Amino acid sequence: MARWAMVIDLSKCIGCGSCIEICKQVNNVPPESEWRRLVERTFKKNNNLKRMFLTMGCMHCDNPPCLDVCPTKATYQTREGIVNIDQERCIGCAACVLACPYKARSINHCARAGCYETNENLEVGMGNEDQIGICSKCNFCLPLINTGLKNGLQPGKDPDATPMCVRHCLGGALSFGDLDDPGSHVNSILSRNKTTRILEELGTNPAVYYISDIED
Amino acid sequence: MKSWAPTQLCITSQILKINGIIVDNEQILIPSTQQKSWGWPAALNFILGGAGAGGYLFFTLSHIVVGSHGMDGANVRIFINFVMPALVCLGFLALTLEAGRPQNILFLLSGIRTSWISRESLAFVTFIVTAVMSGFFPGYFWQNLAMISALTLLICQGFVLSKSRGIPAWNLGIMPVLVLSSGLSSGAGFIMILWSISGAFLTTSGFILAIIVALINAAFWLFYLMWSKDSEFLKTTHNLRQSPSLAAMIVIGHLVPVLLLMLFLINSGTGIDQEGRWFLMGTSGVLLLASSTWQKFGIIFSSGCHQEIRFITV
Repeated sequence: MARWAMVIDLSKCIGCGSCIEICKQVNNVPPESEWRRLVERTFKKNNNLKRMFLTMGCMHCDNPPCLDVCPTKATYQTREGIVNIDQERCIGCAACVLACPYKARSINHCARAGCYETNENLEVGMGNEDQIGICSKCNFCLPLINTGLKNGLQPGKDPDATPMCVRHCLGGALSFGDLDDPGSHVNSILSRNKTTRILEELGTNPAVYYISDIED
Repeated sequence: MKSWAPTQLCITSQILKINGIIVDNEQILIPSTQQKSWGWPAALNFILGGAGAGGYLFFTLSHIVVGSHGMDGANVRIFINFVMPALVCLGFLALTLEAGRPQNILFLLSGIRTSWISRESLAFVTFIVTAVMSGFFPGYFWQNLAMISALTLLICQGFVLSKSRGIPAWNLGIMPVLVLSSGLSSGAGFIMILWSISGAFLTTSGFILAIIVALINAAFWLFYLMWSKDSEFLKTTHNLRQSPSLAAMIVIGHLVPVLLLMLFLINSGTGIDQEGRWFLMGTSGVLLLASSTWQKFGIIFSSGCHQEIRFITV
């Protein structure tokens, strides 16, 4: 059984934001939501300034806090570890938004603000009315992965089965693959590098690893 | 959706440096910000649900202890079996203003095995039905079921908060107990207000129970504020631990009502006239209800801040 994970090499991230833009366009991310975000920080280490770009979205945790709090079972986890939302069941209570320590989820109420009215300034791919009032977040492009697997493709290796952010990363910072495959690209990277996971101490066991050259 | 709460940065590590706790600012990726998901409707659910379920629980507890309630039976039936559930209903209806897609309410009980919101919903329905049935068919059967449902409702509300892993000030083991004590306190306050408006008095044991409930709620509020030394918790509850806020909550909100109730008991039958005693009881009720309401506001808004996200390398 596969366990999908992402590895992000921060030394290669140039902060271009391609991952965010392609995600917005392909997944019709609602205007008020951020499925993927880019954080820029300048660190002062040993009197030197280091600039870092870090991209983050849903961590697809092994122990997702959002899963148990959902009253309608709209939030579910696939056998491969991807946490997804059934839009037909979501009631928009936002319990999952508050349960997520990574702020990876958001409720789209944009229609109430009139965002879906005819507006020539509206960006391409600004969400659709099916997403009004419900929670949305990164799902590792699950439909793409499932379609790719059906066609015999390998996610992380074959672009047509790989999450769009990984496929379009200009710096090659993002990698995707199967943690349960000892020969996978992500396992190869993890074995050669020291990695860290955000808020690991909370016990969520996230499936997104970061390689950083910033030492404490 | 308009923001129910203003977007603002919650207190940052800079403040903790001043207080002597060293936190590396440079590790902060995403600073703590106030949650915008739950606003006035959610707060109303906790406040009205607490007052309604807590009031029912307080009344039946004092009734079990004493065997009488100090008021005309017909009014008691209306207040306890219809007004209290109506309060809880109003709170739940307020939630529909917050839910983005309330038409999916049919699925609300699907998560009963793991979700405290599902369990709260079931407790809500059970409480409404059993309390109303108790009004039409007085007796211990429906009353006891309603009491258990009210208790369950309050505990579930507390667990809903405590399972919010993204909010350090809510994600605590003490939360169910705090919400229960706050609900009892607000319920006691509400009942004292109703009784004083109706020209009745609680029995002596009812007053003693109200004093105990007030003192316990004050104690649990202090326990809550001292519960954790975790830097995230300290930061997000910083405003609640400021002297003016604490003094208002503990002294004015709890100790003053206790003193007024004790004054009532000491002078019962002598000294203070009937209007004076109604004033003492009513004022105590108002202060208890206000302080419990303020607790809920403080929890939802003031300390309702998202987890600060840091990047710490190995």
